[in-house]
Amino acid sequence: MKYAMLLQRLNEYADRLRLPPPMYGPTAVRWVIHLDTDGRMLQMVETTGGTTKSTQRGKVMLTPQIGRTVAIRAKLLADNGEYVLGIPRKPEDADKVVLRHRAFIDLVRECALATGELTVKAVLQFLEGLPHGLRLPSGFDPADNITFEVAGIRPIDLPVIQRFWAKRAGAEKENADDDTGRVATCLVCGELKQVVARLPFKLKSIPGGQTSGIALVSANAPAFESYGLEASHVAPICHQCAERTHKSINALLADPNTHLVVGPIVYVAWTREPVEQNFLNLLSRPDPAEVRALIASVYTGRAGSLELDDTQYYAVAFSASGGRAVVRDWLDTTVGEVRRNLARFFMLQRIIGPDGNEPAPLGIFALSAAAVRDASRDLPPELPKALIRCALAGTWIPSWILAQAIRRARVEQRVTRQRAALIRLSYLSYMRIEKEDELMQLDRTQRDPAYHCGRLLAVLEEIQHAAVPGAKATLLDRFYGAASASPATVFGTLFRTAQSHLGKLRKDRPRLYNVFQQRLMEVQESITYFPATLNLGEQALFTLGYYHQRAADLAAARARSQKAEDTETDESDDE
Amino acid sequence: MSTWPPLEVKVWGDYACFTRPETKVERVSYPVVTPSAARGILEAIFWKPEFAWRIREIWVLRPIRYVSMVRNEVNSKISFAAAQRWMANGGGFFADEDRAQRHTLALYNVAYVIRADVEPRSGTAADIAKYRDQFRRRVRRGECFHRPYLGTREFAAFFGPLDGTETPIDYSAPLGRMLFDLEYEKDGSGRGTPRFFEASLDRGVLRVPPDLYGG
Repeated sequence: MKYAMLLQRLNEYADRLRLPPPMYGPTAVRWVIHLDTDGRMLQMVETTGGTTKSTQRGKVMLTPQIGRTVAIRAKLLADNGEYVLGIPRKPEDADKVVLRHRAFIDLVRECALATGELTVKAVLQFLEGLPHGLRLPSGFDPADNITFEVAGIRPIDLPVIQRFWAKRAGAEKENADDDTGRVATCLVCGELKQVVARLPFKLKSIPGGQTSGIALVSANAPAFESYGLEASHVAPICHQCAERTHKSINALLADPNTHLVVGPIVYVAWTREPVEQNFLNLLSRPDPAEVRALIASVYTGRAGSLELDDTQYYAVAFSASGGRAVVRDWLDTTVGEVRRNLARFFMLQRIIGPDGNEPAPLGIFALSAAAVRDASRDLPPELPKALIRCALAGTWIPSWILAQAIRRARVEQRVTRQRAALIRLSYLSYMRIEKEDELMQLDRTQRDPAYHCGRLLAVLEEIQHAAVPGAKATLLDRFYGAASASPATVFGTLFRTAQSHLGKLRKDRPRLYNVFQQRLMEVQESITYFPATLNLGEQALFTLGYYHQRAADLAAARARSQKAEDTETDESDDE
Repeated sequence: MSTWPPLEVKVWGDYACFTRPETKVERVSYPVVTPSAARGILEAIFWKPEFAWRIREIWVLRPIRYVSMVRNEVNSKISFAAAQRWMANGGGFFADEDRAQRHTLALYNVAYVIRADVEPRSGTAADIAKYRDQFRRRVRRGECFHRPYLGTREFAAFFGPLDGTETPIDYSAPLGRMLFDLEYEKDGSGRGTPRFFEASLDRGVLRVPPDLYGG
């Protein structure tokens, strides 16, 4: 397993995204001024025919961006009416707007000189010729954004203009909030470049984080500084790499196929080359057919493309700590490895359903929730993390999860199918057993008495249920905890109670009495002695034994009533 | 470069965190001890102004395993003036009032062999062999100037001579850009510029390019 280079991998991923050019962003532009190559205005075209509030601001285009508050800073070639045409929104702003308009023209001039681009020269000619004969269309508002099109070409779309702006806006940004203008080796791209003091980008939608976004790299207090380097200078990153890595994570977080939220943490995953298969989806909402196909492909050797299997697969787990992102986990493996590990994960969690059928595979959330009281509040981040690590990296589940799941079962006196699946998965991990059919369903050949104690409890419970239907305090409520931890102390009592229940049944429902009597004997045969105490592994076996017995009995009962229905005979005392 | 065989020491410990600078606050460790952390360990065992340590190789002896933990860390740095005030007037720093919980992705159960040279600084007249022998004796006896540690002070390092059974793990991979060391400014201010290098593990061995030390 490998664990390095998170930022470098994210930087690579940015190549796969169709990212807006540096310092560009989506903006609603309502008007496009069409010019000819000599800068004469042909027409002013409205970009939308929309009537809703959102479309009225115009069509969304990628335009040059810059952080702007009250200070005058023009955006290149696309800005609002005050900057582009010098038309004030409010009459009292007239003086300021003159300055804004001049700043806009100066920037266009600077761009025209630097790039020599003809379309920009045409725009400059147009701007210098203003305001002669400019007829504004009806409905024009100086707050609207305007851009230009020269002989069918929008200058803001040209790569040469985009490069100019990246450099110009990047440099301006540095100077604005970084007095040192420090040059260092960027730890992402390795080039000697000006590095940023504070990363200007934020990560969006990490659970528990501030809605305005949280920072991936942030050293905002003196305790985080080193060697006299302040803020993010400790970790020199150039503006471009900062932007690319953050946009990569945000793109992964925005796409439902590339991220998985479980409680307080979010996993994002990506591959070096595009790959069809979607493993995170399989973990959050496992489709039974897909899981079957996955297992078949791995275990029967009917593998997919081997070339694809060698593709690098990366996953990283984030959580939030105030305004900062926490890297919880980082995985660097291959697609083939992940496929094998996932197949193993689904094999290890397979267990018979409560009614005897094999149910659909469980997702990470359902499994994690089985070990806590209230998954929306009590889920410790390490729990889903361990499960996802098991699923993607093929590790074992730590034993505290097994202990917690067993404790949950004891507190609730209930072994749900989710819990049983989690316990099986964790028990096989605990014992380092990698057999697919071990402990999947009732196994009379199990050697450990703990397993059969669990079975016995299930049978006794059923006897009570049949003899005293609707009992207030059931045997399970009173004895599950003790039975699952120290069987020797309780089973004597339980047997005595069972004898009176059986006596009652013998009179009322003799056929049922025989069934139970037989079942009791069969289970008892496997118990050579009642252990005084059960250790963690034995408690897991007890829980699984109890669950398996119940599932088997329910399945048998159901088969009997099915048969009864089919033959139309009346055997009412047979449950 | 030295013509002597490199000096060797084995170091190990339960936990280690060689913090990546980009994740300094909610810490994430590099997968392997960095050259500067290795230098720190050697300097804890033996240091003289007459020579500088140059790390040649680091052998990784145990599989790379990560462990996630949350710890209480303090928010502020100690200031010299404050310490002087405490000395004069009593009082001190109470961590309980100034702490925050922070996550650490640390390494678990690590062991390394550090192979390094002592490089005489200009003006050193003594035979360098004397320092080499002194270092070997100190390692054998377990002597150190201060307790060496694995990345952060909390993770103490054990050290000792090699017994000949040390074999690097069979694992090769590029590790990306790793902190090499800091280039301190000459004015004694403690300011420095971090330098990075392309690190990789070659069958469990991290080789430090000699040209990083200027030849």
